[in-house]
Amino acid sequence: MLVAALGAGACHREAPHEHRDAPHTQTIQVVPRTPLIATFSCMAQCHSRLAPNPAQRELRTFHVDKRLNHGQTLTWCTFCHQDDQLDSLHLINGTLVPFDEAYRVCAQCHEERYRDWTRGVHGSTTGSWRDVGVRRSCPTCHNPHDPHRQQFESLPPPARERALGPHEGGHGATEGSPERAHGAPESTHE
Amino acid sequence: MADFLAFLKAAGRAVVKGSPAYYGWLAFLGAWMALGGAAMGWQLLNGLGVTNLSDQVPWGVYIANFTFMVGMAAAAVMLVIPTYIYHDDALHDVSILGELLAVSALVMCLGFIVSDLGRPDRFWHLMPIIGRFNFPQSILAWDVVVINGYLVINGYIVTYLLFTKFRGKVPEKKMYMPVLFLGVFWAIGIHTVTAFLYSGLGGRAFWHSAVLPIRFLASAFASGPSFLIIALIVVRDRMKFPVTDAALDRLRQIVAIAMILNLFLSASEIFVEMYPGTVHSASMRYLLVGLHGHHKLVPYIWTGICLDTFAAVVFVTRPLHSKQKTMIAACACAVVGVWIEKGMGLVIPGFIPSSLGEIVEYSPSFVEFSISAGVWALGGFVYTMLLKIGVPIELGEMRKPGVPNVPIGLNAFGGHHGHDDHAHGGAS
Amino acid sequence: MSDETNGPYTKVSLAEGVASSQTTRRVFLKVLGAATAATSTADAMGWEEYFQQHYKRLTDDDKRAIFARLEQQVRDRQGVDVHIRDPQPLDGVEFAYALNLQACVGCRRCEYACAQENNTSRSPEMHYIRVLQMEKGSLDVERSHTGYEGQVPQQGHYYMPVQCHHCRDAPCVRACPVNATWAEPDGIVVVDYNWCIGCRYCEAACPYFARRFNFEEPTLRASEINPEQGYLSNRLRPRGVMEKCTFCLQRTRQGLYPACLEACPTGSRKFGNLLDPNSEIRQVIETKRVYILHEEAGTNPRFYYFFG
Repeated sequence: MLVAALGAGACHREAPHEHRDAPHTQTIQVVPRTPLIATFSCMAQCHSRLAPNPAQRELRTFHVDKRLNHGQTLTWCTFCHQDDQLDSLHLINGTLVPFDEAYRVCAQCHEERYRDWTRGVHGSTTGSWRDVGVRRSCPTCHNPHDPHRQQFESLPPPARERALGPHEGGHGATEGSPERAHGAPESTHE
Repeated sequence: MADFLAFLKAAGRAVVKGSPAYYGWLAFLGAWMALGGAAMGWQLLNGLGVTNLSDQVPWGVYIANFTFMVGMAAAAVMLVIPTYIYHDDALHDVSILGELLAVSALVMCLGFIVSDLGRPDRFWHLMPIIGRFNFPQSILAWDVVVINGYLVINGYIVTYLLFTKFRGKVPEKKMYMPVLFLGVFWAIGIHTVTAFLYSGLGGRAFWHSAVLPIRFLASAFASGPSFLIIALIVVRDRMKFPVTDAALDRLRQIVAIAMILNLFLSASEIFVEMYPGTVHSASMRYLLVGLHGHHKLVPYIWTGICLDTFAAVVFVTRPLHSKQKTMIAACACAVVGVWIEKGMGLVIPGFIPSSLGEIVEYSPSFVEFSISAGVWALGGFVYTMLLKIGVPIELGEMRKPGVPNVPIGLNAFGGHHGHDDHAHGGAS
Repeated sequence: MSDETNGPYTKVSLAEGVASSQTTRRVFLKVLGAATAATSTADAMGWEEYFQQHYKRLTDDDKRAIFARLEQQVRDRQGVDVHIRDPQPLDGVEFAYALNLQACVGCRRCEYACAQENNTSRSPEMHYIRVLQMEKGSLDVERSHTGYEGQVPQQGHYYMPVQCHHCRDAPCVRACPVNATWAEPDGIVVVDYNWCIGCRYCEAACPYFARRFNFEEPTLRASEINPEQGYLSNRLRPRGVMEKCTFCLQRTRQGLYPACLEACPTGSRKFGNLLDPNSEIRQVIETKRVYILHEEAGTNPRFYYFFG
């Protein structure tokens, strides 16, 4: 997908006078979502035996942790999930979309964001700026059922700094162990 | 050079002779220098961590004193300009004392710079060829050049004049006049370059002002000659050096004009910053009235402004300055006042608030205070030594063996304006 | 905060070996050596280190010897095997950075990732990145705060992390009297830690509060040392010299992203090659509206803030 000229394989080493290539462009890999979903595959684990109830209702038995709070139109599971093939999502026109390509579903409404994302302007790309960049699909950061911006616990301001600046008074020092908020493993795909 | 050896020997003898008061003075300076030396050793061992400097306020009392001292050094020319450019003779006989002050002030400048370096052991990186000098891009590189150049110029003039007279000869104009004129421009240059050091930083609104160089010169020409007035009175009373009232009055006129100009320029700066009240006025507000509850410098700067104003009033009011005691007090106020306003009063607010809006206040640590006091004492010591050598030569008391002890012109620059009264009397 | 995790900070000496018990003596010798110039014997610091030339005058052989010496010093003092390299700028690459002001939540993970990657002192604590908590409705940094704590983003605020802007017309580079700091061909502004004299004029010149001075001996535990080091970037620094963000050149010149970007949970940070029209950084500049901090200072930074 994400159009990107293929990086020309082996890259520059340290030798200063070695001939180097013209700028080349990063290849993008999107982190697959499905290995991160505990209940996947939905069909294999439950829904091959248990047909989903399409009626809109309050969920009491299953999926009680899911609170659907995503805009005015998105009011029920089947808006995105394919009820007879629950390992897939679907577009409004009915096209089936695998979970790993969930961004295609999001893109239907959030077109501008999606365009930013394909350009690398929105969302997080890590790995290599030159060779293979690793990008996250929308649900990695945004809970599709309740996509409101979450809060983060901030790490403390540097407490043992020479001058504490305006934040005088001690803060407990915490060793910086930056962890990713989105627990995406760095496996790649696509 | 046998003559030069004799010169050094005579100089050595001159500086160890003196009254108990003289020894007391040396002991006083020595005690401060010892304290400063110990503090310097401590700082070298432990690094600049022993200062109260921080990334937000990376320069403090050392650079503040340095800036002030550059002004003192530059002010020496205020004894030379009237004499040689306006052919006004009042200061003719005392101009050598200004040159000596310049040399002492430059020693202090170098002392403060070395104290401020994080790696003084790498001073050789500044040297030509073996080092790597960012000239002409870096204004600091310019400053290194002009300050050392000024030291060479003044060192040469002073040594040439004194050594020539020591040998009983009349200094030749062609040997020192060109250098003297170069020194006049150079003096303006050192203080302008030092001002550019600050005003050339586009990111520090408080310093980024075209008024700064002229303000620097005005305050230098107020503080330097004020100090010289006191020094001349001391030399006249203690060493029987003939200083005319006309000379003192000419200096008073200079400091009066310079101080008024300095106050006017400072007031202009304050108006330009405070009246429109742009975001760039934060530093000035911090300095004058405090910012967000931080106001460490407010009493400090107002003390400076009051001292400057008091000095200016005395300098222009005859009943006040005609009394020597009041005049000395006013001169001392001018020196201290300028030291406050263009020392820490200029350097510290430039960093407050920081370029990201943080407010970290600063006042010197005990080590910084001790080192600064030590460098001051060192400067005082150097000036005392130079006077002990220079004054007897001027008076004709110190001569090469076999040369008659008569004054040569009694003025440093070998002219024909000698005094008739051959003031004799040992250096006290 | 329990001190178990922090532990007492031993002065593990960096690069030029000043600290710990024997170093007091060493420093003393050094001071003495500097004072008496010719008479001092070769002390532990070594003459070759003292008279080491400016980075740009070093031959490949010099560099090899210096890197080996520095690695040996760390091995001797901290018992850590580090690898010092000197990755060179890549042809056709000019690095730039962009930061999404709309997405940043001010969690400071970038700050700590940076400290970890770049071996900055833990006590006194040194962070290259400063996160400003800005007031909504204003872009004035003087109305910002840096000491906020707890859950972020906080009501009424947005966040603006600031680090070295790697300016095209860098005031720090111009200010340095000895050329100890300069912009590399790929735009990264570096410091030669063995050449800096510690005058701090660059720090006064910088409008971004991007430069940091080692007033004290930098300290960090042996276990905290990142052994993959660049000579001009994250190797252990001595006392009395300047340091700063180097866009993690030890990573970025090998094709990786800087540590701060990797740590960002919001994807606010964008980095890449300005000369590559398809790079993220070019896409940001072309499709978004950018804001340049202190643009009036004329520094022409390679660091852009954007909204989106």
